[in-house]
Amino acid sequence: MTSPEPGAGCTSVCLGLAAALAGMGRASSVVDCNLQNPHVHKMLGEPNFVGLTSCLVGEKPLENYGHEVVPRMLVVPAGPVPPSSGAVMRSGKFVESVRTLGEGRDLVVLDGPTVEEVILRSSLSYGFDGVLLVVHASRTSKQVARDATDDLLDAEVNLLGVVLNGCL
Amino acid sequence: MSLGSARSAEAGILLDPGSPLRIYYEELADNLLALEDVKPSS
Repeated sequence: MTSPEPGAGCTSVCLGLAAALAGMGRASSVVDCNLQNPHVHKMLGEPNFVGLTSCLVGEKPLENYGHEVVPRMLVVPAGPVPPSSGAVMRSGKFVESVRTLGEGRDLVVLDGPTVEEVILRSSLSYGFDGVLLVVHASRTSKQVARDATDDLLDAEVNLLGVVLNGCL
Repeated sequence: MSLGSARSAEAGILLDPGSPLRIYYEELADNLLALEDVKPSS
């Protein structure tokens, strides 16, 4: 999940989607991959002592660094962000860890950084099944939404669709 | 320092199965699960 710019509601859509899946009886997970501006733990009002980055430098599987916020919905916060966060995300362990988490789940939703960052990080743009673009009904201009879509398509990212947030 | 959860109101709504938003997220979930590109559920 990505958005053209912060504030489009990417984290909200991640949590709403994962919660809906869990409510439908599916096992879901949200992983905060936005190391520049981690937001999942803030929205949930929880600490960020351990999370994705802990897994990437540690030995245990990714699920060990998350917790269920509702039954069947696992949330993994970003964890402490090291100075070399880019290098950590580029490591093969990131994709491998998320894929391993996905083996026991119906859907893993990655709360990603902005479109620009996702395109720069091949592990995020090409390492998984696809990308959903979140735009906000009032905060995202049509031109910004078009440009973001074009950028993703130009980069040959598998764009699964666009979510229009903030309509209600 | 309290480490207790101070979940935001928005998160509470998103996690609430009775929320009016839930139907839209269920529709999104159904659409995603129906995509061939995304791992099918058992």
